[in-house]
Amino acid sequence: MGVKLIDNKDKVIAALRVQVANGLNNAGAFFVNEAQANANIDTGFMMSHILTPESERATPQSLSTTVRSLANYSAAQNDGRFGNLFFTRAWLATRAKFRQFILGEITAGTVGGGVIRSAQQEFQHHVTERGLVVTKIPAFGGGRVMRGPSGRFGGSYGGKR
Amino acid sequence: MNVLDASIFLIMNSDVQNDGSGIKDLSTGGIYQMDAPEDMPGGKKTMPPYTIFRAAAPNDPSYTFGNHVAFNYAVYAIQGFAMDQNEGGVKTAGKIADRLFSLFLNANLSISGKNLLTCRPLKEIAPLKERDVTNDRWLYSKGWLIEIWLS
Repeated sequence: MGVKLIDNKDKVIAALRVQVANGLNNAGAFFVNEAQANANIDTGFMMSHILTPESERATPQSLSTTVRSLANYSAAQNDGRFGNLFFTRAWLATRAKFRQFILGEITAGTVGGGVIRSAQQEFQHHVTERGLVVTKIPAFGGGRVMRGPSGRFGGSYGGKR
Repeated sequence: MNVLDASIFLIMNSDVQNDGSGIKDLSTGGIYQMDAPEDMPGGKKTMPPYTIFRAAAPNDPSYTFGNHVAFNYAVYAIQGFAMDQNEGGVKTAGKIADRLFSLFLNANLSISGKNLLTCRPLKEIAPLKERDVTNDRWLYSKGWLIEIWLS
């Protein structure tokens, strides 16, 4: 009796990078919405030019998102004597929710089944009503081995032999 | 002005140092919340350098069961504003910002009805130069975001 451990770290990392990129972009979108909602509006030029440039959005290869306010008077509108801290407020609100943006994607992600589900698919346990631990062995075409509560081998079924 | 605003004002307004580096020393035009007054006695405008503080994040309470307030979290933007006078405005604003960091790092704020958990600088507010058209001068500013946790 034995257990074959399979290293799928690369698959897990690839799935994780996709989900983290999604989380970062969601955080960026939230930041943009908050800043636009807080911005002072006269002509609307500054508000409509708060964005995440296409080239600066997160991808699995580049885990970084940038939010910009393109109007050249944005800094004065934020930090100046008559500014209203519209960008700072958006940053603080995003910062407070940042973990949720990232962790929410990781635990609920659909690409690659999610990191947690991916790991679980590789090594599954379930306990039957009689207290048997049934272990799925992927390498054996879905076969199962059973161990009793004391850990003694109880039998096998299914899969390729 | 609520109790936290009052406490922040008090700590800056009391900050007098022998070498003139305190916030009160440097802010000869005064320390204000939200903005420096436009109209001072005698019809004069507020003269820089002055210090302005304003809430950047709302002082929202976090509750536990039974609506007991577990803690409050607040962020304030505090900046020194200066113009070119006996020394460059950039330098004066920088001195105020440096002193703000020292003053609010583990500051011993006294807030009525609350316990201070921690007070510390969070992020620098970058130097800014803006035109004061009314008075035909440049205004320089620099400061810090300060985060405060209360229970």
